[in-house]
Amino acid sequence: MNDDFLHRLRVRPAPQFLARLKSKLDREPLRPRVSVVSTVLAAVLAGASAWALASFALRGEFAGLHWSVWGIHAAGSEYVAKSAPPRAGSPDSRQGWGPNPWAAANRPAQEPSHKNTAIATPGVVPIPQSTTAAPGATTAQYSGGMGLVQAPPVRLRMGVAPGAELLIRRMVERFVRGGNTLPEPTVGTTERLLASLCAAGRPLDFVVVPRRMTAAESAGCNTPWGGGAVEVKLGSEALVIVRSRLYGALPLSTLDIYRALGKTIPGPGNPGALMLNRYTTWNEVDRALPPDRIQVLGPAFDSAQGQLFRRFVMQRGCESVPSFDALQSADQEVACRDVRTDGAYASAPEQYPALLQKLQMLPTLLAIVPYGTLQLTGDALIASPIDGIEPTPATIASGAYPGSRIVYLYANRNPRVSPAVLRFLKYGLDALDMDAPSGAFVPVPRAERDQIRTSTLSTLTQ
Amino acid sequence: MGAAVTQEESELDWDALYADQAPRVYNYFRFRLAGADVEDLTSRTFEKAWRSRARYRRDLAGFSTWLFKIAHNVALDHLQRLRSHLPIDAAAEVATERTPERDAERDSDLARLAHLTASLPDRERELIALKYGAELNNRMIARLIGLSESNVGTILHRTVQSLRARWQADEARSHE
Repeated sequence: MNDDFLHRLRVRPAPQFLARLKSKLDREPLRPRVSVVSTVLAAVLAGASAWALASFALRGEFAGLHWSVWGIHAAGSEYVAKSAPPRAGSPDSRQGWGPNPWAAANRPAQEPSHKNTAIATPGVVPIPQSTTAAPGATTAQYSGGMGLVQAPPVRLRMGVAPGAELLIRRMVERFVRGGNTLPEPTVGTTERLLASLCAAGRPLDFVVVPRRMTAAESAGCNTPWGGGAVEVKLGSEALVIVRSRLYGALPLSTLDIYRALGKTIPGPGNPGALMLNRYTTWNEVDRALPPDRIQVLGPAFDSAQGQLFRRFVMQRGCESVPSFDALQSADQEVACRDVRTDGAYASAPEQYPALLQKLQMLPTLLAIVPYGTLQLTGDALIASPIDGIEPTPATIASGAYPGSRIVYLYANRNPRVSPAVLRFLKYGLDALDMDAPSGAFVPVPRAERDQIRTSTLSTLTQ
Repeated sequence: MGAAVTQEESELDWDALYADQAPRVYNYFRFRLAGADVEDLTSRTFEKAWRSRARYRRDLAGFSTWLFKIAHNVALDHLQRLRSHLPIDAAAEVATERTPERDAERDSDLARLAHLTASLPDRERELIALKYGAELNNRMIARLIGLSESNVGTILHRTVQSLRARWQADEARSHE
């Protein structure tokens, strides 16, 4: 026994535990240091505010206010974002690897409720649930281009598919900051959301999905009640696997990545059964790879970016295992979902300098980072090609790079909601109007973006 | 006054501090309290620290020192509760039974160490946990414990020597 032996008894806490605790801490209120004077002052102000609010509510002027606050439940919605708006500079608003405010977006898909179940609360006058304002009731006024001077009295209903949360978050944040009402989110699979876009009854006003609509799905919108769908290409989301340029790139396949990081993998001896992943070096995963230890740092897997990586890369790798079809469906789900917790995969430091320092010290260490981070690092990091494809603006824009997805917005062309959708797009597209990648978001090239904006405007105002 | 503290508070990168300190606090509890629910104790420490972070004064103590004061108090609370229910040696045995498969060897070594340190005075156990669990340097440990830096070094040296001798004696017995 010596110092080194004692130090080696340390372990890295489970990433899930660290992420869970961090998420809890982020919700902890700060107890301020307060003086007696400030306490008395606060009490007086609170009393005055309470009196003012009470009298305001009693006059019934609170009607509709409960719609405009982020996180307040809207009756008739299955899933509504509950988190508070991220503070400026908080991990959530930095596209970092902090907790995912779209946690609700990770719940299993269900049919959206179409019931109108508004419940009156004391002092609150309920407003109708219908998103379809009466003819002539839309108050949006256009001042040319996509500029609007007045908000329409419509609460939009949006569908968000897994894989599109990060991007839609940017758009919604900008929209709400502009004084608009938070759209009512519904979460589901891409297929279900696209079907709901033009369904009879109470369809979604727009959906954001990580793939293009098929011809059959498009035809489903050309119904008397659907009115057709408008396609808006929003941009791409991409994550890359990097290591220090000092040690060169490590070309990997999605299958290699799954075999290295999946918690359970199909056993070579018994392909129909799962075994605990005990690979410790890359050459055990694939003989062509070097005998380096498997050590990968990345976003917490329950974060939005972690989910993104899981869906982009792990799922694809998992499904490409030759014996995947031999697994029972429950085992298939487990195999593609769970990530190792034995130290092969660990949460990366949120601060880029700390991450870079780690990568430069350890030749075998890899990290999963947003594409935008790679762009910011200059020559310090180098990305691994995945399935032989390098992450470049071109391969990401085309969707060829396995670590990326193109995200589309489809809007219902129903003329009664299109002014409100147009208003959302005005803010939303402004939020995505950038020339360089930011976080995992990779924008559409400017020329194409301008064209999309113009054609969207013309289609929705027809 | 309040404004000054708020400004100080806002200058700190709490996310970075969390990323750096959470593993240290976690391992401090692993070394200090064998068999305890380490995640729960780590959570309690950070929740206390986070709730009162406005009261943290950088001019009074370094962040680690302040945080480990809180962790120390959490450990004492835990020990007090434990003593009324379960002897400390029994807790070490519980830890051995709960060894996770993937860290079997490492946790087994830690359990053996816990068994050996159970007979040490409280102060020496605290020093081992702070040095090897939390990976604090002797200067910081000295500030926390209220000893001189050289004294901390001397006590740690003697303690590790004593543990090594007993460890080797245990191994010799097991080979007989």
